Amino acid sequence: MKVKVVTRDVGFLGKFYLPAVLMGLWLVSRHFFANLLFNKMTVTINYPEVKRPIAKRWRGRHRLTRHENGFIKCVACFLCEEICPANCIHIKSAEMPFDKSVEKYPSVFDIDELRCIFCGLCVEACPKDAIRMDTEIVSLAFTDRKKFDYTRNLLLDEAPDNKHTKYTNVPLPTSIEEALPNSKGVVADDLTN
Amino acid sequence: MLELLINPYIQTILKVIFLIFLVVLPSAALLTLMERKWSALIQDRRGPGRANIGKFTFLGIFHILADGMKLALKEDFYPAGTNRFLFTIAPYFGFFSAVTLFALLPITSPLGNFTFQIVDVNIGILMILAYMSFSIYGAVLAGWSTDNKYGMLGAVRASAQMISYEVFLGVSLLGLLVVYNSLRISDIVAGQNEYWFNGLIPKWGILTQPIGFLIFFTAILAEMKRAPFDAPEGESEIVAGFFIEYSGMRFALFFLAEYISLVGMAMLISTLFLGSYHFPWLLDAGFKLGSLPLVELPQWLVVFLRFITFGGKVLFCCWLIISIRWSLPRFKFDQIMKLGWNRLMPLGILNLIITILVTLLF
Amino acid sequence: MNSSVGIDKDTDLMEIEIGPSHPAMHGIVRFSVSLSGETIVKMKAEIGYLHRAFEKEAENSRYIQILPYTDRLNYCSAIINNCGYSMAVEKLFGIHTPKRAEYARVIMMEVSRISDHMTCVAAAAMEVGAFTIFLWFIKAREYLWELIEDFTGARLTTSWTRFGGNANDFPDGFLDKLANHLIKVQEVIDECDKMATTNKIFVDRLKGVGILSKEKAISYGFTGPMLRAVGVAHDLRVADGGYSAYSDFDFEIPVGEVGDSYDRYLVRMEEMRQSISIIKQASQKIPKGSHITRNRRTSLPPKSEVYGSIEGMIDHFKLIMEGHTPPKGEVYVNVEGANGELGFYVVSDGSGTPVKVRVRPPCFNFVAAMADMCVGHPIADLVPTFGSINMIGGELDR
Ligand code: SF4
Ligand code: SF4
Repeated sequence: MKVKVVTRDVGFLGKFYLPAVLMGLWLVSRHFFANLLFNKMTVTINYPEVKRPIAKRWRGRHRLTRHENGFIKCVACFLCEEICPANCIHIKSAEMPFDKSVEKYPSVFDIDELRCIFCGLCVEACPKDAIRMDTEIVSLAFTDRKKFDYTRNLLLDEAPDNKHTKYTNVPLPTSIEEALPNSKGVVADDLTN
Repeated sequence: MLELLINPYIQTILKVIFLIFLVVLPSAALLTLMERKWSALIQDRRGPGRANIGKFTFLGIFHILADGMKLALKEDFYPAGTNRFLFTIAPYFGFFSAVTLFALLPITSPLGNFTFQIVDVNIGILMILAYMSFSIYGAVLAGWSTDNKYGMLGAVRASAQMISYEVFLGVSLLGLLVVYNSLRISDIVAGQNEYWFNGLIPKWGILTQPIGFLIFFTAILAEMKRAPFDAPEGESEIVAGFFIEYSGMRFALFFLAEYISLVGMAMLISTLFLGSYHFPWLLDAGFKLGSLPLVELPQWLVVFLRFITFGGKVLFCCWLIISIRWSLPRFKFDQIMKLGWNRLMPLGILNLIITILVTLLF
Repeated sequence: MNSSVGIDKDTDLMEIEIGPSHPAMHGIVRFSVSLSGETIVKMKAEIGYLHRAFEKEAENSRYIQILPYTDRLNYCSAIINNCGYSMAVEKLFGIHTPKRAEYARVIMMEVSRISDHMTCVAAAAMEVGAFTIFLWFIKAREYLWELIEDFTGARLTTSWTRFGGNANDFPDGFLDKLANHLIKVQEVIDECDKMATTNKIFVDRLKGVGILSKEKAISYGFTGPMLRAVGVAHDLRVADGGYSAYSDFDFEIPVGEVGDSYDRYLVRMEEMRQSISIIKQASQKIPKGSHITRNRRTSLPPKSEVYGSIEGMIDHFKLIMEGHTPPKGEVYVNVEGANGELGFYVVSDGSGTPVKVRVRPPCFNFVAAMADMCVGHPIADLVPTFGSINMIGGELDR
C-alpha cells in the first residue's frame, strides 16, 4: 500500500488574505470575460428549446413493439410483471383473436409510469423483445395523475417524435387480413376491453 | 418659471427627485439583475433570461419587473410573537441610510453655477459616516423584533460587526483627511485632480493612500454585510440571519437597500479613492498631459466626459465588489473580528502615522 | 412583548433546532443544539427523515429486485452500491466475474467516487459560502454523469451491475469520451484547487474544525476518507489484497495528519486525482472477454438463445420466475464506498428471496460523532464539519 501524506502547508502566500483575494479575482474574471466576450465556457442548455443529446442506452418511457405485420409482439408471458421491482406493470392476457400464429396477447397492458423506477429490468426480462425503453422520452410531466397510467394502446402509439418506430399512431390490425406488411390505413377499433 | 429654477431650494428638490428616480432606484434595480447575470457568467451559467413581454427578453431585464411584482403581491405577513411596530420600521433604517449617501456625492463637475451634488457640507465625511451607522439599527431591530432565534443571532452578529467596522472605516479615512486636508467632499475631489511630477501622475486617493484604500474597501464590504463578510445573514448557518422572517415588500426593502448601498458605496469608493469624476489629465479647460500643449474642450463636453468617467468607475467598483463576493468563502464570525481588530486597526493607525510623518516632512 | 428569544431561564442557554428544513441540513437530519452565546455546549443528532425501510423491502423482494434499491442508498455514487451488493450475492453463489466486467466496474466505480467526492467538496464549499466552487464542481460532475449515462442508461439510478457481471458492455466510443471528459474534470479540479486550497479564508474556516482524535475515530467506527484524514492508512481497495481488479493498478492512499475538516478536504481532493489515475490505467489495458458470466444459474442467457433455443428460453423463464437462488448461507462483503466502508450482509435460505440484507452505511458513524466534533466550537463551525462528513441521507437512514 502506497501512502501519501497530504500537505497541509499553505505556503507563505497562504498566510495572507490579499493573495487569496487576488487569486480568486483572477480566476473569476477569467471566466467572466471569457463568457462575456466569447461565450466560451457556458455550459447551460436552454432546456425546452434546446435538448441535450441523450445516451443511446437511456431508459426512457416504455413502448410496446410490433411485428412486421403490425401485430403486437407481446405474448402476455408475465415475465416483466414478475420481475418489476415496483409492481407497476399490470397485464391481463386473452386469446389472440386475429393472429392464429400466437396464442395469447395482452388484452390489458398497463404501466403506471408514476410507480416505475426506470430500472430497465422489464426490458431485460422480456423473451420476445416486446417491451423497450428506447423512446427517448425523458420527461413525463402531466397535471393529472391518471395520465401516467399508460395503457397498451398508448404504449403502442408512440410519441410523434419517436424515431424508432414506423407505426406511429397506427392502431393494431383487427384481423389477419389487415395485418399487411405495411398496416397503415387500418380502421381504428377500440381493443381495450 | 425660470426664476423658480434658479431658486436654490427648488433646484435641490429637483436634484433629489432626479437622483432618486433616475439614478438610485434604476441603478439598484439594474444591479440586482446584473449581480445575477454576472455571477452566472462567472459560474459558466447563463443567468436569468426567461421573463419576457411578447417575444422580447432583453437579456432578462423583465426579471426585475417580475421580481418586483412578485414581492409586491405577496401577503403582508407578521409572524407570531413579532413586535409589530419595530418589525415594520426596521427595513426603513437601512433604506434611509443607503439613500442619504447619494445626497453628499457629486456625480460630475459643476456646469457654470449648477452643481451636480445635492449638498456640499463642510463636514461631508462625518455625515457619511453618521448616516452609514443608521443601517445598524435596521439590522438589530429587524433581528430582535421577529422573535426568531436565527434572527437574534444574526442581529447580534450584525451589530457587533458593523459597529466594529465603523471604527476601521473612520481610521482608514483619517489618512485621507490628512492628505487632502479637508472634511468637505468637494475639496477632496478637487485635491484628486492635482498632479505629481509636473502633471504626469494624478494624486488619486488610491495612490496617496494605498493602505487606507485597502482598509476602507474591506471595511465597506463588512459595513454592507456583503460576502465574504456576510456572517450576519450567512444562509448556511443562520439561514438568513436578521431578516429571516421578512417577506413581501418589507423584504424587498432590505433587498433594495442592499443594492442601493452597493451603488452608494461604489460611488463613495470612487469619490474618495479613485479620483471621483476626474479623468486623468482632463482639466477644466481640456486635456493636458505633462508639459504637452493643452487640447481645449468646451465645458459641457468636459462635464459630460467626467460624468461618463464617474459612471465607469462606479460600474467598475460594483463589478469588483460583486466579483469578490463570488470568489471568496464566508468568514467565520470570530475571524471577522480578528481581522478587524488585529490586522486592520493596527494597519490603519500605522498608515495614519506614516501619512502624518510624510505630510510633515515633505 | 417579545419573549426572551428562546433562552432557557435556568441554564442561560439558547436551544435551537438546526434542520431538518435548514439550508445546510438538506432536509434529512436535525441537530438539537444548545448554544451559549455562539458556542455549542450540547448537541444531539436526530436522524430518520429519509427512512425508506430498505431492509424490510429487501425481505420481500427477489435478489435482482433489490438491486434498484441499492441505487438509492448513496445516490451520489450509485454504482459503488450496485457493485457492492452484486459482489455480496456473487460471493453467496461462489462465482467469479469476468476480468472485463471487473475492469468496467473499476472504471465506473472510480468515476462514481470522483463524482461523490466532488459533490461533497462542492457542498462543503457552498456551505462556507464559496458558491462558485460549488457550481464549477457541479459542472464537472455533469461530465462524469454523462459517462455514467452513456454506460448504464441512467444518470443517477444506474441499476447497472448484475450477478456475475454487468448489464452491458462498454458502449461505442466510450473510452475516447472518457479520456476527453477526464481532462475537463481535471481542469476543474485544478481550478478549484487554486481557488480554495490555499485561500486563507477557506483554510481558516476548515483548519482545526471538527477534529477527532485517532483513537476516538477508530472507536466510532470511522472508515474511508474520514478515517484516512486522521492518519490511519486504511483503504479496502488495497487492504487484504483488495477486491475486484484493484490490485492491478498502482495508486496512492492519501492520509491526513490532524483529522480536521481541512484534512478531509485535502484527502478527498487527492483521492479524486488518484481515481483519475486509476481510471487512466484501467482504460489502457481493458482485457477482452465477456461482460457477464455465462453461468446459467446467475445470469440471463443471451437474447439470441432466448429467442432461438428452447434451453435458453427455459433458463430465462426459470431465472426470472424463481429468481436467483443462491445456496444457503450468509456473507458479508465490504467495499470502499466513496464515504467509507460500505458493507452488505446477505443471508440466504436457499430460496429466491433473501432472508436479510443489511447495509452497513459509512456515514451513520460520522453522524454519531458529530456531537463530539462540534461541542465547544461556535455554531459557524458546525456547518463545515457537517459538510466534511459527507452525510448522504439515503445511505444514513436507508
Ligand atoms: S423499468 Fe423497472 S420499474 Fe419500470 S416497469 Fe420496467 S421493471 Fe418495472
Ligand atoms: S415480458 Fe415481454 S412478452 Fe412477456 S408480458 Fe412482458 S412485454 Fe409481454
